Amino acid sequence: MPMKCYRCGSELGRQDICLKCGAPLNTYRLIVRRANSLYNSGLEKARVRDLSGAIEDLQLCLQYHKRHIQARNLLGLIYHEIGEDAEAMAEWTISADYQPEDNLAAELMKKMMDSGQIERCNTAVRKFNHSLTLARGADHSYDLSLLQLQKVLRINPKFIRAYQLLALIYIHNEEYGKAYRAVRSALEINRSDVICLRYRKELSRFLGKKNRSAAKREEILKKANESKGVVVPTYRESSGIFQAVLHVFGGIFLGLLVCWFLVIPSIRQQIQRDTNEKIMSYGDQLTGKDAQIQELEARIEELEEENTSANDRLESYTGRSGVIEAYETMLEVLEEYYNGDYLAAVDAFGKLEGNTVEGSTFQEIYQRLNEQFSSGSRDELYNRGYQAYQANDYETAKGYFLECLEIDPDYADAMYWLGLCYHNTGDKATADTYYTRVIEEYPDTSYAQSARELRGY
Amino acid sequence: MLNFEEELKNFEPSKEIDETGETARNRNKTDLVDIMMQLLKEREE
Repeated sequence: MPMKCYRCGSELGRQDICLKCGAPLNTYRLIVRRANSLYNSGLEKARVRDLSGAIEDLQLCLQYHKRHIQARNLLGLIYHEIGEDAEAMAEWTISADYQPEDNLAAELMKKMMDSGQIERCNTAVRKFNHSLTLARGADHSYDLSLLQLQKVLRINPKFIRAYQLLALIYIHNEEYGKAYRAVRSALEINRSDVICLRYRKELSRFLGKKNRSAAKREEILKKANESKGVVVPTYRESSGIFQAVLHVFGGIFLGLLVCWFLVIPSIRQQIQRDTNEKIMSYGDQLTGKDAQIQELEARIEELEEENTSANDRLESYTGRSGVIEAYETMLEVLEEYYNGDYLAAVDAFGKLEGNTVEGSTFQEIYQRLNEQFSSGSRDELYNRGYQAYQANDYETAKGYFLECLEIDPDYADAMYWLGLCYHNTGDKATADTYYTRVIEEYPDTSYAQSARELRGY
Repeated sequence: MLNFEEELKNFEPSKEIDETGETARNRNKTDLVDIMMQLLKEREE
């Protein structure tokens, strides 16, 4: 890659100054040469998976010359390799800023984005941070922290720091074998990871002690056996049919034991599971049916209410105090009135309830008749009664006067003439009753005077 | 012998990739070439 002028960016030859802008190049060449040397060293180390060493060299290279694109891209790649994708993306972003065209960093970032790796890495980072919080927490949830770390490594199997933390917790839990495996996995990615190398050294002490203690145990056992004359069992060729039969029955017995302890419990569990599922299914069905029944009952109640309401409405039309009855009574009143039977019309009107029908025409006729029968009816009845009396039709006259007193019980004229009607029809006792009322209640009238004479005092 | 608590303190929380912009800004520091340019500029002045 040709060297470019630090000031104007033009390509440089072998001269000591830039031919375009005249910038001195001696010191700059020294710096770039040193940076290149560090980059080459970093590249060599990266090739043999000495990634920690490579990172140191490349970081130093970038302190000399921050625009060294290859060094920055390689540093990003190494960060990606050890699971530090945020660091990797940062280096590639800076690299792409310095050299937007023809830059490997842009391709690498695009690959990361297109493959959905960014989201996966973020998930792994979140879980790692959570596991760290759990491990550092007051309640020391190391088991939960381990579970989280295992998930992290399933998502990002190159996350060195996750291996480190995993190994540390295993060491703390005295699970040295697992810790050793975690350390080994990390060192396969970065064989110069200082923390993992330290853990491995620590682990070798424990594992070495364990191996030594196992060997010592075997030796002691061997010596003890020899001293007590114990016969160590050795392999012998079997012979004879008895032994074969014994083996067959032994096999059958073992098979039965396997069935009894493994197969039958499994079948029982399956049956129990199926039964539970069926019970739950029936329970669900019952719940559904209950809901249906409740719904139907509610519907029945609703329909019954509707039916009652409809009956009430029908009753209001057809009942004794209904609309139809009111119209019929009204027709009867009108018929009697136009036939000239005033008394019958008044009788019929008395049976009529004005508020039964709300129709405006009905109400108008009702009000007119009401006025007619209430204000003018007393006098009208009296006149008709008087005319009947004059025509010697005492029975008819009696009816009119009685009706007249119904309307106005204090009507003295009607009382007197009613008494006369009873008098003329031979009912002297009733006649005297009305005469007495006239005499006592209206003593200063001409009717009282006549009544006294008729009664004979 | 490892001291678990001390070792645990050395672990820092990781950064998510969304935080890349900030990380990049922190990373883009002065290099030796910048210092050299500054010295040359001061000498010219």
